Amino acid sequence: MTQPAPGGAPDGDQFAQGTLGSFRTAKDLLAQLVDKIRKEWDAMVARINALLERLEHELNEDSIWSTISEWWTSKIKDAVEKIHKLVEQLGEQVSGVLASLEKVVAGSVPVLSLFEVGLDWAVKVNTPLSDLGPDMTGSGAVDAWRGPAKETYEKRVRDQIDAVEATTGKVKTVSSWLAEVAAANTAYMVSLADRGAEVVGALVAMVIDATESASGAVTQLVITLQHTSELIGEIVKQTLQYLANLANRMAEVIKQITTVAGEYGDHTGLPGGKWPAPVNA
Amino acid sequence: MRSGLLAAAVVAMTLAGCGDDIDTGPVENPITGSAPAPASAAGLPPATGKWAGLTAKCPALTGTVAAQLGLSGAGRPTDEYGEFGDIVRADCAWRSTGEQGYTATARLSIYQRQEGADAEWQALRTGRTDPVAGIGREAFASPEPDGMTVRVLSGNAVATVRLRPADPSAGLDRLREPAIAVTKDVLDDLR
Repeated sequence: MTQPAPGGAPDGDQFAQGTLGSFRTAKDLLAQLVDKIRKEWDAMVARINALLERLEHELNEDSIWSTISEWWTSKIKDAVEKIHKLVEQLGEQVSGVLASLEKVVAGSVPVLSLFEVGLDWAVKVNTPLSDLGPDMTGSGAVDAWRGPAKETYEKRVRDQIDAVEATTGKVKTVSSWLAEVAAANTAYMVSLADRGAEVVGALVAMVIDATESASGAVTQLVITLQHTSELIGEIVKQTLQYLANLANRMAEVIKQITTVAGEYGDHTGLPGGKWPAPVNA
Repeated sequence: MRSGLLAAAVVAMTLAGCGDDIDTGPVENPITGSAPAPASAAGLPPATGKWAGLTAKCPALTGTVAAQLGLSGAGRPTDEYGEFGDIVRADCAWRSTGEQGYTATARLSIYQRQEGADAEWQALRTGRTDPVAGIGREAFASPEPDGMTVRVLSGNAVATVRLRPADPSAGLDRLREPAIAVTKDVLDDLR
């Protein structure tokens, strides 16, 4: 047997390896994103606090700027209150994103292990099984056989080929189920990693804005914080939607699990509904 | 003029001391436990220009590869499309007009702050192993479960373009070059 089975292992193997590769990349990326988001969040809070400190200093000192800024005192007061509220709101949003990422990172290790073993098993078992059926055709000295012995032999050979083919079908079913589960999980993780990277970008842009803001420009900072909050709020909403999509896809997969369980309990593909006895029995 | 200045002085004096009521204390930080290494744009070619946005709400695919895949035309903005002050998040989709069953999506983050784009890219490039030459400042291709993805940093924009076939299990490597071509087609609508 030198030719791959039709529609068989090579593509499935490639698909499985590609999926696992994406899963590993996403897992590593998510783990790093947790640290990056924390770091940029801390930087943003530090910059905003530095700005507020500068503002307090300028409001308290007796300067022309201080006098002019007093014209806007109530506006500044409003702005500072909004900054406190928005940072609190952003903190909740970023905490939500971090919680999602950490949960997925923590849960990904056993899931990856399951996929690695499961897909590896499916590919390793399926390939030789697919090769086995055509190799079992009776040949050689048996060609000269005649009579009941030959008929019995040929029937047993046919039974065994049918059994191998039925087994191959079941392994393929499990394989496609595993691939579906792995693909759904990987797609979710990749989406989450992409959105996590966007959170990092938004926080860094915010840090730069806060760094460059003069203390008299706190009202502008409020607008930037509002935009950042809207953006991260959207990302939170999207990640929740992806999670819901994953749950829906998993619900479909659970139906497949029932089918797989049925497949394993179903012996109708086997000759006479039973595993065949060896030819020499 | 003099009376105006006097009025201003009166208002200023009336308001004097109000600064004491402003809570300029530090904002609370509900997130604790930070650490790691600083992000940097080290190793990246410098940004040579700055994109202001897209020529239309969504890019239009006009190349020959897009035509072969049945994906020509302007993209449709998805419900994840958004503008957030200095950051535009363009999220667009295309569906094959023929029976080939291809779909494509493009998500572009256009930052007015270069540092934002660099930071998103530094996060996104983690673990990428298949660099693509000739697009943007840096680009990578990666097969993902449902299609081929190309990610690229072009100036102050970060783009993620996905090309999905009807049946991903038929092999994704063959989609690498078409996905790169579609990505170039998307990027040429930046202005």
